[in-house]
Amino acid sequence: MRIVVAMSGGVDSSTTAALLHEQGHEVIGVHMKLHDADPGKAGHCCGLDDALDARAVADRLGIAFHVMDLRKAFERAVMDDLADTYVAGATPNPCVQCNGILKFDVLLKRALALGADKLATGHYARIVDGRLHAAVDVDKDQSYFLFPVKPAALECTLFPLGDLPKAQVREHARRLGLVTADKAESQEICFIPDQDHARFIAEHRPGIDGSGDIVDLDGRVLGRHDGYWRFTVGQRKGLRLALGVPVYVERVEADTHRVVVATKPHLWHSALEARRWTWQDRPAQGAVIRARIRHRGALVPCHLEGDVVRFHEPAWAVAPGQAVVLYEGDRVLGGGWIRRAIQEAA
Amino acid sequence: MTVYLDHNATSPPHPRVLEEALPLMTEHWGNPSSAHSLSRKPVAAVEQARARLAAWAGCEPKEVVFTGGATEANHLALRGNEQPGRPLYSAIEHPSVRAPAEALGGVLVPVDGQGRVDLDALRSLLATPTSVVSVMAANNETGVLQDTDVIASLAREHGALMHIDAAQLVGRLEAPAEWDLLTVTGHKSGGFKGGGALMVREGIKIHPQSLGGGQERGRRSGTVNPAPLVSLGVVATLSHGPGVKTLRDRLERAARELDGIVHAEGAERLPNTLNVRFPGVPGELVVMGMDLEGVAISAGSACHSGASIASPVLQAMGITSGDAVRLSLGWNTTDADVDVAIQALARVLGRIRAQGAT
Repeated sequence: MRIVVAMSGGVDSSTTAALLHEQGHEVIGVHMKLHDADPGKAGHCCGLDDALDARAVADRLGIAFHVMDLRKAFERAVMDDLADTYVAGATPNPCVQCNGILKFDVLLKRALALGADKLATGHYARIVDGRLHAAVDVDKDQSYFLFPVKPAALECTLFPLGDLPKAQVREHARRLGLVTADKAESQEICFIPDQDHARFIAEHRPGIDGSGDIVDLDGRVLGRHDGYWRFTVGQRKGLRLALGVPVYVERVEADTHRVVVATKPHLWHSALEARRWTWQDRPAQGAVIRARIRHRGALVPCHLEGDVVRFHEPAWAVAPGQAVVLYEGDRVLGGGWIRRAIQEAA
Repeated sequence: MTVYLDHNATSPPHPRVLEEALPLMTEHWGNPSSAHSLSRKPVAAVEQARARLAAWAGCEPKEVVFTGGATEANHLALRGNEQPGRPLYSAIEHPSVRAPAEALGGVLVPVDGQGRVDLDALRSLLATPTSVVSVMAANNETGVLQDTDVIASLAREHGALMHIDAAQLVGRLEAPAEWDLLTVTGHKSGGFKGGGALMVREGIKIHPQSLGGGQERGRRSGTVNPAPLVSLGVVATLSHGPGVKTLRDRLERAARELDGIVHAEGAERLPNTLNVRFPGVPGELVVMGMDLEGVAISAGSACHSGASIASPVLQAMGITSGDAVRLSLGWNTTDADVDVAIQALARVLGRIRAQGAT
């Protein structure tokens, strides 16, 4: 088969390319150039050094290698979305956006246009009978990030690492002599190297002012903040309040600029409402399934009522803007974007 | 790689180049500046190259200053000339002219939609004291030829020097008639990389950019590197026959039939160059697809590859989309190569359009 492998320059995608090459496939390495963030800083995933690492691996394997400039598409689908979502008072998930749009739409079409039979990536997830499943290595599982990938796209996709524990991937990389074998993980926002998203918003939405009050559940003003987009539901850091009792962000109000804080018990949510679902297999209404509301978060038993996911045990700090992904066993049924948290008296 | 259509980036060595220049790397490796007999062959070869280049350019051999390439020659022309005033340079110049000219406070002369220098704009800019007008003879991306004789007479009327970057011209067409400073390199037409020259008209003072051994009559210090210079001399004796244009025109017709829009089609162009866009089809994807088909072409120009926006040259012509690709033929391009390229292009475009890839 002719297979395009998305090569970020990390150990996972390098090993993906090497394993498929070893299996005798015609592998074409493609590095996606997504942004111009300073590659010298830690936490990056697509800077110049990474492109060079990816190229070094491709040269070592003797496979074709190309850099695709997808900066414009990335800016629209991921960077603008990140700023817009924060400004709307919610918490964006750029990795899900990047997978759903850049990798498994734009890149997949480009791969097929190059005559490839499949697109392969180094994600830790499995495709079983055409359906998305969690990876064997539960600590590395990335199926949460992949929910928007449509079944038709999965038909043209390979995740060769989904059956392997991470340690074994590194072993393969060392055995194959890949320069990326011992590279550190990159899990943060790749285009904001210092992870200061407030600075990013200030640069991309010049002149915008998000300052406002920090209030309690009764509306009493407890303090001031200089940008509501600095806060996410469940956040404790950065509030700079001395109340004698720990408080957490309970919600963020974009229209009033208010950040509402509360003590821990108020952040156990009983349900959530989500929109813009992508279904692999839509569950029957009322069937007992499990929900994940953040990457590596616990799987919470629940059932679906329309667009509402009703938890069978409380879930901590449901954050609008994040994804909810529904599982049956380790099979992904689908997912959507969280619109609001629901708290009802038990 | 079976078919090479990227000669404007660099060109495979011509057999005559290999025949004459390789011995200077294997047998006659001496330093031309040495006093002993090992310098004789290299000196003779380099001086023959100088004479050949002078014959092409229509100047005296002593007016030829050999350099390590066109970038160095352009720097010598712009940074080395002592004429008062600021430089003017066209909006489609190579970065190796654009960057030093900008650094010298240079002003950009716009081009029209076909990539030709706007002569009215040039006239009004020349009202302010100008040291040098720098215009390329043939554009590396579009192949557009400038009317350098007219530009040179305008420049001189206003007391400015005329610098022409002819990197894409030598080995293909006749030299321009009117110039004060003329840049060439051999590797676009069968020569080796690392060989260039700046021709400097007698009487024009040029300030050396490297000091030291005083080679090239003190105008360019540094050990003379015979092989690439000899290759450049051989290139100066070559030219495109009518065959290259016939092949390019056939490729161009095929591109149009595949809904391609040819850039600068209304201008006089190099006979070997085709710059074309296929609306909605990303240029870099065409390049990759052609590469997988065994045909080497480029998106925009090799120095800018990897950018999905139009190159500065195309932007100066009012083209904004990043869909352009460049196919540039050369001394070894055959009829069969063009057949292969046309078939590959049809397949590649067909697949991209079928997938709706963006």
